[in-house]
Amino acid sequence: MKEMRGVAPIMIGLVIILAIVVAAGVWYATRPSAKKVEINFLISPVPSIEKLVDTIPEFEAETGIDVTVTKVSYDDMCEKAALDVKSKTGTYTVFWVEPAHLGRLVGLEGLEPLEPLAERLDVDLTDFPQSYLNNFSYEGVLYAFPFESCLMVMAYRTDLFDELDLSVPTTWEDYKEAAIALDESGKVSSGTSIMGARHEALFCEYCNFLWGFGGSLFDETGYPSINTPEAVEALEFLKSLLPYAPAGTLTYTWTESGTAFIVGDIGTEIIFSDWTADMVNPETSGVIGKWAYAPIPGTGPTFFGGYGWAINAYASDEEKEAAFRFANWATSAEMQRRLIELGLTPTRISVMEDPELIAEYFYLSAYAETMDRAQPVMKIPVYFELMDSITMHLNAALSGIEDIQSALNSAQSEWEEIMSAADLI
Amino acid sequence: MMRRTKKGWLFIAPALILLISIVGYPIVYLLVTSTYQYNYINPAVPREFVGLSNYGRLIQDSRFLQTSLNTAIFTSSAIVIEFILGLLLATLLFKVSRGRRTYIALLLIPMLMMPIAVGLTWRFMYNHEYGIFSYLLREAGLLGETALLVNPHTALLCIIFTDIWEWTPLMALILFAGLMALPLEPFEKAKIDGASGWQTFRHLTFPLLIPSVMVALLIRIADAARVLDIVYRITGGGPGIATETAHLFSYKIFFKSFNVGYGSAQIVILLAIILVVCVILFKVLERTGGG
Repeated sequence: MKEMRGVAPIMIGLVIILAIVVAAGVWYATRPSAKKVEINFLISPVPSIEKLVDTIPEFEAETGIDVTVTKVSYDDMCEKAALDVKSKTGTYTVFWVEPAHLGRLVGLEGLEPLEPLAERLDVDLTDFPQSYLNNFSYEGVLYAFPFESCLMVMAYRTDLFDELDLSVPTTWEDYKEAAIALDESGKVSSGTSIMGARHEALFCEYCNFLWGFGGSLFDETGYPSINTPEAVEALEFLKSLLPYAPAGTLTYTWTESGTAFIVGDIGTEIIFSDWTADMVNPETSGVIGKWAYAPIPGTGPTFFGGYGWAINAYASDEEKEAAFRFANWATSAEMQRRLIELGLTPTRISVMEDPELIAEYFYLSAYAETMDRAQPVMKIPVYFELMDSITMHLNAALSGIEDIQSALNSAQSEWEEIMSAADLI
Repeated sequence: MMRRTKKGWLFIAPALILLISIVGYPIVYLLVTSTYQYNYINPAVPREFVGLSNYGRLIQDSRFLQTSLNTAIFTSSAIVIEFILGLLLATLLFKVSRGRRTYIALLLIPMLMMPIAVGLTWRFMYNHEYGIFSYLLREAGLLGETALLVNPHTALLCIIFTDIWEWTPLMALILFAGLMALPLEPFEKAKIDGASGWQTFRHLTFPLLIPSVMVALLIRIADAARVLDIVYRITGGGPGIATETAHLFSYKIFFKSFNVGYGSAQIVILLAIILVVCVILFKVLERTGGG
């Protein structure tokens, strides 16, 4: 009993402290300012989005909506989005989505259809090209505002092309010849670069070659077709570029490959257009005034890497409306005009076709030429599994661990297994 | 006596309940899930009891077998080298008295870094064109045209080297603590008897140090067998699956495919292997009087 006398005041003290903490928490959560609508914006940081984030206070001041930004790596972002919609918690209100992500998120009933909201809030979506709206639609329903086209284009060094009297490649053979000439000139470290690491970037790059050589990921019935003669030819061609690429190119993702170009080490490469921001920035670029974009060689489809803003279906109605206003503001023509300076690949017709902008920003014409050929890779729920499988085998084939035909055969079997397990074939 | 026992159980009950709920429940759940076909996010895959078929699939899965082999090579190589270097460092620390605290503080730095940051940093250092590590090897004539992370053998060596860099200090500190706790009398007697330095180490220091050695090995084996972060950041498992470890494969099954049933079966097998290794080490520890 005596012992208890010593302990009791401490216990009572702890209980009082706990009660104060809980009361403070309840007050904080229910204070009047907390009743403002809050939306949580889940992103992976790239320059144009960073700039958009800088302008968010303007939106908050204009609308009274609080915007919290959650920045994570690209891989984490994809996982968090899937887990959030699966758990139905509505933690994140606005998601970054790419056409390839739609299958999984829509399959979980996690995305809010945009058209009913647009109708209710009287927002006109016709300034976006129909092809873009289709890219961000799933089974005919629009789920995301197109924010960035993020096209894959061919970047090349204009100064070296002039010096070596090279013409801009329009076929894959021309592309290889240019890479060889640039490599042998000794004016750059390597003629070309490949995003060859075991990473999503390799899949994106390879699709351009696959489609360029007449292959496709699926046949007309939707069955995988990744070990066809065209696919083998495309991969053989990609592998034949390795001697003219940096020795470490098979460890390069979009980060290393893009960086190698902007520091001036590469003559020409296939690149995502959202690198423009770093190419035009004097602080990061070593090639200012010495580069240009051109459409990817050949006439086949090219990889559409665009991303847009989608709304979480498990958010409250009030949050959904606020998120819609935010996504509409973030993709407005005015915002795109501001971000274009940073290299944003616009998604609104009024911006893309503005003659003043075309005259001012030389890379816009290459975007326009590429846009019609750009196509989303696939929109099925098992995209991430398929992508992981094929990048593993593509990387093994390029590294010489597997021969090309057997690597593609293995990938084909795995795709069949994955799609069959998901009841897709 | 009975009353005392009951009282004892009463006192440890809260901790026991907590332990069962945060350790026991997930393990039971893992075991149960491993017998189901269960994809967390794909509604097209119905949740169905499949018995032991996930285990059957795993045994035939060449990727699982290859990644398990990679893990075994990685763990055994890294642990052996870390142990030798750790013992060397611990002995040096034991010998020096001046500046010892500073050396210990410096030793702590690698293991205080987040493994994911360690992986990213080393990825840049191994970069063939811009990395300092590759540059130094090239200057020393030890690196040719093939990049370190492109060759399957050197890529795995890079992963092992990074782990050694990060975790040798832990091994050294545990062994150093063991050395500090050794009784002085046997060493004084050995000195009087004229034992050489090597004889003292072989017949006295090392046998007395075995309990600390076992603890260090136990911690490191359990940890190294679960390696994921540095592999994920440095190679992503490539080239091909040359550096993919079993836990990286599990991570991909869980977080790329969300194939929870199959992933759980894999984790159960890995858990069982680690458990067996740990039990063997415990037995050795008991026999050597350290238990």
